[in-house]
Amino acid sequence: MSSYPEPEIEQFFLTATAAQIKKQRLNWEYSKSLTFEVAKKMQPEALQIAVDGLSGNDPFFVKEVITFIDAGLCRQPPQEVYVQGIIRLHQYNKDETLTFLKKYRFLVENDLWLLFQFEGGQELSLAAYDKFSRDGHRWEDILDILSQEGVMPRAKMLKASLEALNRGFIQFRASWFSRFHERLKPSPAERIELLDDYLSLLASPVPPTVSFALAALNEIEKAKLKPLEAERLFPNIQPALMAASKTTAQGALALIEKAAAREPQMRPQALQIAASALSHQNTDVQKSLLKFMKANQALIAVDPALQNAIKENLDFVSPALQKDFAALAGAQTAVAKSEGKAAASNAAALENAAEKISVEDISIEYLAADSLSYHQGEAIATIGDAQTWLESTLAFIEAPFDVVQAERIIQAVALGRVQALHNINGASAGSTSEAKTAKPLIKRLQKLIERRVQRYEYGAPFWVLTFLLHFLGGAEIANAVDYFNKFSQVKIGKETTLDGADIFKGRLLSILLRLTEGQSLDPLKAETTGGFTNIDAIIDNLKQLPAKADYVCAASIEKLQPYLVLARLPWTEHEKLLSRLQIEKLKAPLALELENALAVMLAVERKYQSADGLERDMLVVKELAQDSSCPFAALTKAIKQPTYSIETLDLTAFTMPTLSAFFFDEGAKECKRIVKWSEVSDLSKAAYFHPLAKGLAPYSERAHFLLTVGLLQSMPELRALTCDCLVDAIDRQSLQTQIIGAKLGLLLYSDISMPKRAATLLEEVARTSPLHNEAVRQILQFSLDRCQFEANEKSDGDKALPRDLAAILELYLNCSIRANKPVESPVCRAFLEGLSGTKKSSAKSQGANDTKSTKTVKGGKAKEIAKDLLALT
Amino acid sequence: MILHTDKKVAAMHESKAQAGAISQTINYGFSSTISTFERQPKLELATSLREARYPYFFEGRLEEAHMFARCLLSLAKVVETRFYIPPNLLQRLLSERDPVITSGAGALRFEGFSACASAYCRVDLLPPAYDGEIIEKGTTNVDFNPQMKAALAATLQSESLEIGVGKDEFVLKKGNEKTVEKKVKLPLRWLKSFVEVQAYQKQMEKRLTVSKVEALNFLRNLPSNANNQTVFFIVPAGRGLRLSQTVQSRPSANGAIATPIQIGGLKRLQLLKDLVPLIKQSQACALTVYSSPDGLASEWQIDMKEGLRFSLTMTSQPFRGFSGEGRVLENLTEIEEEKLALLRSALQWRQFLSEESLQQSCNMNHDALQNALAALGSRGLVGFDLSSNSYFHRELPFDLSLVESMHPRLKAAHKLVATDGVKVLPSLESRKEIQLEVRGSDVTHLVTGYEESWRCTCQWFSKYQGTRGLCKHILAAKLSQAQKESQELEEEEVQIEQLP
Repeated sequence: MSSYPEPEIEQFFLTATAAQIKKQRLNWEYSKSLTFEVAKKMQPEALQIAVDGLSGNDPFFVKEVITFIDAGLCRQPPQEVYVQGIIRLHQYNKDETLTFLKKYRFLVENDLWLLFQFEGGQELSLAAYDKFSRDGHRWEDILDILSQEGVMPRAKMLKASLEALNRGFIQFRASWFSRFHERLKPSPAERIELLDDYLSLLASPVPPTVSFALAALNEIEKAKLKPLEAERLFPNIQPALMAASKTTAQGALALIEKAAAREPQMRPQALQIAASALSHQNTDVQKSLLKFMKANQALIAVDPALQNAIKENLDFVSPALQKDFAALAGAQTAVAKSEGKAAASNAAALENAAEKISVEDISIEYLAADSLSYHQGEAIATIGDAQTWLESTLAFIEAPFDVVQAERIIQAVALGRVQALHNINGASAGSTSEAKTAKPLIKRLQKLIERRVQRYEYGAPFWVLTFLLHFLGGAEIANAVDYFNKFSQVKIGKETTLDGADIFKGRLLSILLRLTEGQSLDPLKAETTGGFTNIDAIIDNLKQLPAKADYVCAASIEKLQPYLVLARLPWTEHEKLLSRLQIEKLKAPLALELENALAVMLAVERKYQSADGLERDMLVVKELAQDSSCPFAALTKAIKQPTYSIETLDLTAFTMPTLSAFFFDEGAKECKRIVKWSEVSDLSKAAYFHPLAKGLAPYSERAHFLLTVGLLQSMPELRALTCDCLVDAIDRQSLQTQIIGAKLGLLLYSDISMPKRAATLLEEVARTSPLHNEAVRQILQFSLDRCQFEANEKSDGDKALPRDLAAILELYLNCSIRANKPVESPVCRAFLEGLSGTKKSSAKSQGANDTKSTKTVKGGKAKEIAKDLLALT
Repeated sequence: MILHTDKKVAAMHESKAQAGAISQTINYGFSSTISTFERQPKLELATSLREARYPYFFEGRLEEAHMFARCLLSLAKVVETRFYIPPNLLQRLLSERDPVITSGAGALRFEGFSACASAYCRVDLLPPAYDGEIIEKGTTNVDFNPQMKAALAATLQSESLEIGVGKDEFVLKKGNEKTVEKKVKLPLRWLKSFVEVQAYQKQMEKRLTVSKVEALNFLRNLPSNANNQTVFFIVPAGRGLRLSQTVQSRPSANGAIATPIQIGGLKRLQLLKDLVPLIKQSQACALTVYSSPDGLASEWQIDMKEGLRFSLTMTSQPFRGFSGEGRVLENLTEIEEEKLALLRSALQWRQFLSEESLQQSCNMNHDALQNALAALGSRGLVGFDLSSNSYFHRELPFDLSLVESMHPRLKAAHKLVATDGVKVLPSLESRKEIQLEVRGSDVTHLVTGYEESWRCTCQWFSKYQGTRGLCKHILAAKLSQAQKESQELEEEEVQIEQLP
């Protein structure tokens, strides 16, 4: 073991020239050997090179460097390296660091100020260093003590911390300096000295810095030592008005108002600057601005520039405030225009208005269509020739899993369309272009399978890869069952419950087994991109089977086969299929099994004959699922099987399209769990929305439930999908606003209440068109109907009102104004009256339940909006 | 006029190509700063030009400087941001790079890439936006330092701003100022991106135009927690835009089905959020979105006011840098140096080079001109301006001839041809296509060409289907075909010469 200093290295430093030291890789061993004694004997130029090099490689070398500088042996190393060294100089104990710093006058007088000039990096900065230091022993404590003791001038420190904030540091690193500045507790007089610095920080691109500067200005204002002059404030305040934070923008507005009140001659400029808050995204800021403008109405009336500024930005303003702002600017809003038209009694004016009436002026009504049915998608075209199949497969295995493309490729194999490629790897005809294309494909399949095995990814895509490789003859085990079993055994655990991927695997294995028996058919084939089949296709398939002969099938799905076929056939076709089977009198075992399965299912279906179509499906599935002896239960279990694989979920929906209601129910439960427990966002949940987003599944009651939960999600992918589904469903008038509204109201009072999230997403939907706006208005109205019911049911004092309900109310108000409609529902009106407190006296007469709802009156904003809503006519 | 030969540029910057990066020392006469000049703020932009004949590259004055300042700040934000950090890159985060500025024919263009090369940003300053004169023509780096950025941030809306882009005069004023020297390692990907972005822009078409209100609504609603890997589609929603997760190919105005614009890494788009509220120009068409026909790259253009434009061009995903796209590779296999020289002489620092005028002046057909422009683009000599749908001349201050030879796919293709890795298969009479066997890393690939369409059995082609340029096997096949054709031509010429 070597001891330091090492004589050899010492000797090197004493004899080497500057050029030689520059060439040497100076690591920490060298820094240990460059002692003060050695440094004294070195040539100054060589020492400087050594100090520069070692400081870069060993940050802890800074203590030695400081002693060298103190003794006049060398200069500072490059500044950034030196500053980083200084930060690291303090380790655990502030007293030790303080003692060291005070020992060197040049440090406290000059070099420590460099800390205020350098941002540092990802690894090292004052903010990062202090974050992991213990309380009372941070750099901010050390610098504070130095300032209190007068070692470092306090005024200079206050100024330096503000200058640091103006150096464009990122938010995390900048925040250290604002925190430190406030820690020094500047007095009002000191703050006045620093006024220009605070003002310039209002333009900082770092939002917390803007808030910090504004708070400092407020402190000055509060102290009333010296008023903030409008001339100095106004040119700088505008960026704060545009800050995303509501508090900051309102604070800035308040400062402007105060300055304008003190200096009335500056009011026109104040209004001009304040007008930029018109485009602020928060309605409360706009409201504050309106209040300020209304107070100065007379000035606006004589200022055309200001009127124009208001008019230009009217579209930014919340519809609820547009009318007031428009009145200030002497303009008419779209809503006001239509009201004006309605009120016109002059016949000529009416005629003129009728001519000019635009689409937006027509009162839009949204009515959901009555009939809901499955949209089966397009017919799947099977690939016909080998070369196309090879090229499609090459592309498919590289792209994310596409169930329809997978089906096309599998069907081509199952139906014998690419029989020439079966076991092509071992074939002698290696000179054909098919063989030349197959070789790279086989190689790639082998690589991909190996990679997935290493990563333990045994999902649906994995089984497609193994299926393809085995078909092409590239697998090391010739027997398909053995080959598939080889991978099945390594799966975690040995769950007896099948999931979507397992069912898919069973189908693939069956196809391979059938190929060896010369059976080119697939009873589980999907006919359309929605995963559906039809009666003719089922009968044709059964006819191809040898009479009374067994068709080959993997053991894992043998009993499930008839139910899997039926899971692709709409419920309404069951009776027809049964009678067709009875007419055709097919001898194939699968035909008989199908007849039996249909008999079981139809018995339950008849039981619920009186129920609504899609609701009936759900009831039938639920009852069949309870009979564990029936293989059908395995299908419902497969849907319930938890998975983090988006492909498996996609495939499950594709394999069992007629069980979509049950699938959505499961999806809603999964999505609810994410919201309730704030679980790590899981992209696979997006797959529950896919059948709806593709327009394949009907908007059943359970689909509405899934979409309602989707409104409360935070994950952007799920939110975008929910928005897609809602926009599309409204376009096609398949969305039942009453169902989704009632469910939303229910969830607002549940443990996953997220009114803000729901409001933001619904607003996006409402902006699409007047029809969408109307649909959203209806949803919100129905949701408030339900809220009235929930408030009565669940009210337990002050906690009853959902937090942030104001967001829902505000959107409802905006949609109602845009649609030019009042609150139509008496239940909703009662809820709003309860909220606004206008129904207190009548509530008592209505009994205990209503009294409870009046107790829920809480939250000024919700109360105000409720009043506005009730005032709509 | 500043026309650097490749040798001069190389010598000037002491460029040395290393693995994946070019070490470059850039000397600035001073640090860019905002000073006060006759009671007016003056932006002094330092450049790395040494051969300028005039003290100032540009000198002028801007009204409503606030907008310009915010544009420059956004540009600075792009060039200093890495929107995607590859998992294997741990500590090797690259230094900040400075944007480049091009001046000539009345226009000043500031441009730069994000460190990951997935976002390209340009600020165009055209005559109506400034009051001044462009004295010098050329392209150079400009020094963007934290102090200047902080001063830009503090520029007020009501202020006007004097701008000086140059070197000498400021040095004369402050005789003892130290020259600012920045040592940066420019990754090759950044340089290659300059080549690729113009190829993408050339293919782009106008897809969406939205008002200021709708643009702001869209940008404010962008989720901040979106996964970098997730691709969203941008679809119209009423008069505005929204994010979608469903591919909805909707018919465009001319009836053709347009693939929706794809965007991942939404943080890049959020850069526009600070600029949109400042737009003065045309409230109704505040934000224009262009995209390539496949929707895989898009340009988001904001006309701040007349003559001041901010453009942000992005790939569909932040981990897909422009550098890796390789759309120009095909053109690079067919370079004719004579035509290049002819075209280069026609550029003349013009800021709007229309294809028609170039075809006429150089006597080239469309294909030849495209190849030549792509080749010039690959040497950093032209950029593309979508709003005017024309190329503009610029000469990047880097030795880009190195880049061309370092395109990994092109380099590998040359190697394959040189080592007899390409074998032409006898073509069947029934088939009009040609087939070649090209050696792969562990298997031989089949390359098939039919007219202009080429296919390969390799992973790259299978994955991207040509959307990210050709694979090395197709490039090798094309190079080999080109070689064969030129050999045949030479033989024919020899035979003709030998005829009596």
